[in-house]
Amino acid sequence: MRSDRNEIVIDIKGLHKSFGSNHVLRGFDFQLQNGENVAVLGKSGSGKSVLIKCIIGLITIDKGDLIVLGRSVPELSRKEMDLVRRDVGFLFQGAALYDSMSVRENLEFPLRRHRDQARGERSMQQRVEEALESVGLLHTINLMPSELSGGMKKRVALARTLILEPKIILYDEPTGGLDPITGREISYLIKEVQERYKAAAVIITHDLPCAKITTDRIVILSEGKNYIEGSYDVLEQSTDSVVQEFFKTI
Amino acid sequence: MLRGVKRYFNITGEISEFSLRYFREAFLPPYEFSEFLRQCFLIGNKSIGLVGSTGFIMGIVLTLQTRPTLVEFGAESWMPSMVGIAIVREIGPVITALICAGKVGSGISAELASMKVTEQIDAMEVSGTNPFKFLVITRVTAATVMLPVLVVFADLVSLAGSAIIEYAKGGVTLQLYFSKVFEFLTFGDLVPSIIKSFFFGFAIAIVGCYKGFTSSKGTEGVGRTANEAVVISSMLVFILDFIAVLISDIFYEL
Repeated sequence: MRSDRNEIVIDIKGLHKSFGSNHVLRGFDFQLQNGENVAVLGKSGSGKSVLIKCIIGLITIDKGDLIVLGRSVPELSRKEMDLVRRDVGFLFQGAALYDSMSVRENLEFPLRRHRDQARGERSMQQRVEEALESVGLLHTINLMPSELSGGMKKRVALARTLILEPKIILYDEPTGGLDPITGREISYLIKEVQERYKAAAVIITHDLPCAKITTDRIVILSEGKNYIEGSYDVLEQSTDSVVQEFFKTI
Repeated sequence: MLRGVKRYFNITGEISEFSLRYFREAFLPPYEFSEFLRQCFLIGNKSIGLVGSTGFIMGIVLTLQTRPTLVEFGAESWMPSMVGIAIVREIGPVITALICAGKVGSGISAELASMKVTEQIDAMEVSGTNPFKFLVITRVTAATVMLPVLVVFADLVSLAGSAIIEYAKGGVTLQLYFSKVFEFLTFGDLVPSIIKSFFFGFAIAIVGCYKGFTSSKGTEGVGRTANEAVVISSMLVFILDFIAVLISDIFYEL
């Protein structure tokens, strides 16, 4: 299935979402192909995080079509949504590691939830070790999240996201709150992981170096709509004032 | 004033709805049994020291305070039965519930609120876990089961404290003291106290979970929800106790 590069894994048409009188998304359109990495750029409060939370079903949409892996998200029951979520990983802005669990238990948690996915030749222990090794943090396996630095937490969270080998990974500000050096390390790690796992990715960020390293295409979200899209190099040359506003910050 | 009344009814309605959701989802699979056992251990383990020491002191204080009056009336032989009934019927359950409201209720609400702020609840949802089942149902059920256990423990420790004072002051042996206590205690004293303890446990945990689950305003909200959870659940303990006393009083008169 992953070999079909042209397959559309996320298809969004006319997406609307409001919170009271605050219209966050006003007819957002978006398509993501299998194995493609797309960054969604936008100012703070432009609705980037709302968008990926709609994709994963954490926020219900008001209007529009939202199809993920061939399933219409607004029409899915909780059980059906959980099946879709098994194939969609989500890296939270603040890592969202479970404080009361060790690194090992954090990684085992999604495996225990999706036992059918966890079955197979490799044991749970092997999967956890492989995922941690892929982010270079095998030595932290018995530590608690409070003993990790911000960058390490992001890496462990990425390992937890990868453990079910998702077809799509949604990254919410993966470099947010990190110093530029750690941010760059995380960006290269995402690129490496994306190449290895061949998953499609939506990367929500306002960190242009991260977008440049990790993505094939950039979508700029402005006033609740996709304002413009293209490769990093094309957008960098754009004379459009909104686009320039993003690029002149680096 | 009007705003306060409106807020009171809003919170009452929301907690009732939250409780209904508990009953709707608690009996449906999947069951988070290992998390339930972990919560039972945590709730019991977290509170047993405090409940035990408070109960022991209550038994001592109650005996010391009551003794002079009973001696004055030549009724000190009534001490074990009087203290026993007071502790089992009222003091044991209420004091234990108030301690748990402060320790368990605030702990639950602060934990869930901080999980919400740091998106751990969303992460759980994304992992294919129903956070309400994993976090709320396990904690509420564990508190409902564990509170009566803690109450019985507090009653026993409290009676032990009272027995020591009686031994020291009046030379009453432990055997005589406890035989006097159990001579007057009936199932009619014990059963209502155990039944109301289940309700206390449920109320404390459901309020803690509700406040934590619906917390907002970031990290500032974590402290506030813990505080509100303690205030609301303590109030609820007294209201439930009042209702329980009214109901059990009907049975005593029969």
